[in-house]
Amino acid sequence: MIKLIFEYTFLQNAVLGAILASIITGIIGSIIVEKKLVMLSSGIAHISFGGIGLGYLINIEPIYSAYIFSIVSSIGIVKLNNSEKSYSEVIIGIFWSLGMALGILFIYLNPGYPPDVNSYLFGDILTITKSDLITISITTSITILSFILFYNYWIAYFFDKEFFSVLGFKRKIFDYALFILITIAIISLIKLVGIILVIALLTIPPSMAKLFTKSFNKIMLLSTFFSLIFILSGLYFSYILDIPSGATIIITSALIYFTTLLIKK
Amino acid sequence: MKTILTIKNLEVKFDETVTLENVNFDIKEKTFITIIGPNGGGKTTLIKSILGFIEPSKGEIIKDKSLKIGYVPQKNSFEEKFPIDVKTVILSGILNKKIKLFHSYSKENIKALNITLDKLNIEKLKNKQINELSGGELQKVLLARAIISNPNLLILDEPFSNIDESSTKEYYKVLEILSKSMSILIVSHDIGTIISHTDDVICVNKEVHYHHDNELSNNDIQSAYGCPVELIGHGIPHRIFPTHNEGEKND
Repeated sequence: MIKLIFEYTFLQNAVLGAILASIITGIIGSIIVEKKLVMLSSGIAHISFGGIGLGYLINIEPIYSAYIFSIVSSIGIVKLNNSEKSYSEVIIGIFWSLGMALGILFIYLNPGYPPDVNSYLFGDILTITKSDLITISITTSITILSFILFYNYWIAYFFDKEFFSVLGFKRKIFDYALFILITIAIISLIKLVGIILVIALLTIPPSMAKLFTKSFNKIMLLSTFFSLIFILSGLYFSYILDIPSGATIIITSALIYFTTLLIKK
Repeated sequence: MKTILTIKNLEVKFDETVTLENVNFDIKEKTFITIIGPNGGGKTTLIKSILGFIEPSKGEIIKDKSLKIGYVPQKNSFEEKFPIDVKTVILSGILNKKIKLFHSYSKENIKALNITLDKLNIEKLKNKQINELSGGELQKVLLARAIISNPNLLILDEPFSNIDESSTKEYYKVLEILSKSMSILIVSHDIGTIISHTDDVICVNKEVHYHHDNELSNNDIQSAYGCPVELIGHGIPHRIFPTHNEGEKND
C-alpha cells in the first residue's frame, strides 16, 4: 500500500486529505462532543445539501455553494435561537429538512441529466482533487489559527457563557464564530465521508479520546491521532476490498471505538 | 460610604408581563445585602438586570466608575461536565474584554491565583478537574473565579442550593471576611442563617422592599413572599417555606 501511495497521485491526495481532516476532527469534533452540539452539527451537515443542489443549478462548484449556503443557515440558527443554554431542536430540525428539500428541488430543476450526488452524500476519499485539498488546507488553517489565537477566551466561553458575558465579552460574536468554524469543518469533511456520515467522523474520535484522558487539550490531540488512524485504516480496507471508502471509514471507526469501550469497561 | 450602584425606578417586562416594577435602591461600598423572595418573584431578574443581561423596560441602573463586579452563578448556568481544571477556571476570572492574541496568563496572574486559592483554602484542588469536585468545593472554586480580579461588588445567585450544611457555614465565614473589602449581594433562601451575617435585606416579589437592617419581622417576610409563610428551623439554618405554591416557575 505504501508503495502505491508513492505511485498514485489520487492516493497521495487521499492521505494528505486524511491528515488535514484529522486535525479538523481533533479540534472541532472535541468541541462538538464536549458542548453537546452533535444534533446541531448533524443538522448543519444535512443543510449543506441545499448548497450542493444550488451549486449544480447555478453551475458553480457545489462545495463552494455549500459553504455559503450552510454558513448563512447556521447564522440563521444562532439568530433564531432563544434559549440561553441549548439550541432549539425544532429550529435545527426545520433547517435540516428545509436544506435537504431545497437540495432535492435544485437538483430536480437542474437542466439536463441529473448529476451524481452520491459522492457528496456518502463521500469518496479516493476522488479528492488538488482543489479539494486546497479548500481543506484553508479550513484547517482557519480552525487552528482561530483556536490558538484566542485559546484562553474560547475555554472561558466553553465553560460558562454567562460568566464570559459578565467579564465584558460579546458572547454572540463567539457564538457566531463557533458556528462558522463548525460549519466550514463539516463542509470540508463532506468529500471524505459524505453528508450522512460526517457526524460519526466528528464524534467517534473525541469520544474514544475521552476514554483515555480528562483534559480538553489532550482530548483534542488524541482525537486527531485516532481520527488519522480511523481514516487511514478505512482507506486501506476500502482500497484492498474495493468497497465504498466513506462507509468503510465510519464502520472501521465504530468497530475500533466499541471494542475499546468494551476493553476499557 | 460611597455609593457604587444606584437603581432608579427600574421596571422589567417579559412579553408584557411585569416581572419587576418600581425598584429603587442604592448599593454602598462594603455592604452585605441579602435578597430574599419567592420563586418567580424576580430575584434572578433583578440580578441579571444589574449584570446587564436584561434590558429594563423603564428606569435605569447607574454604575459608579469604580464598579467592578464579581459573579457567582447558579449551578445550572455552566458546563459542569466540561473537561477543565480548577486553576484554568479560576484564572478565567482575570480575563478582560480587551482581547489579546495568543493570550497567556502572566506571572502576576499566577500569583493572584495562588493568593486566591490560599484565601479560600483550596490549594489542594488546583489541578483537579471541575467534574471531580463536590458541590461545596465547586462553589468555592466559582467564588475564587469571581474574586480573583478584586471586585468591589460580589453578586451570588443562590450559591447554597446544592451544598451541605457544614460547607454552607464555612462559605458564610468566607463571605463575612470578604464583606470587609467588598459589597456582597446574595440571593438566598437560608433566611435564618443569613440574617446574622447580613447588613441589609432586600425582599423581592415583583416589587422590592429594601430593609436597612437585618431585622425582619414575620410580617416583612410574609409580605415579601406574598403569602403566609412558616419559618421552619432546627436551630440554624432556618429555611423558609411558603405555605402555598405561588410562583412555582423558576425565575
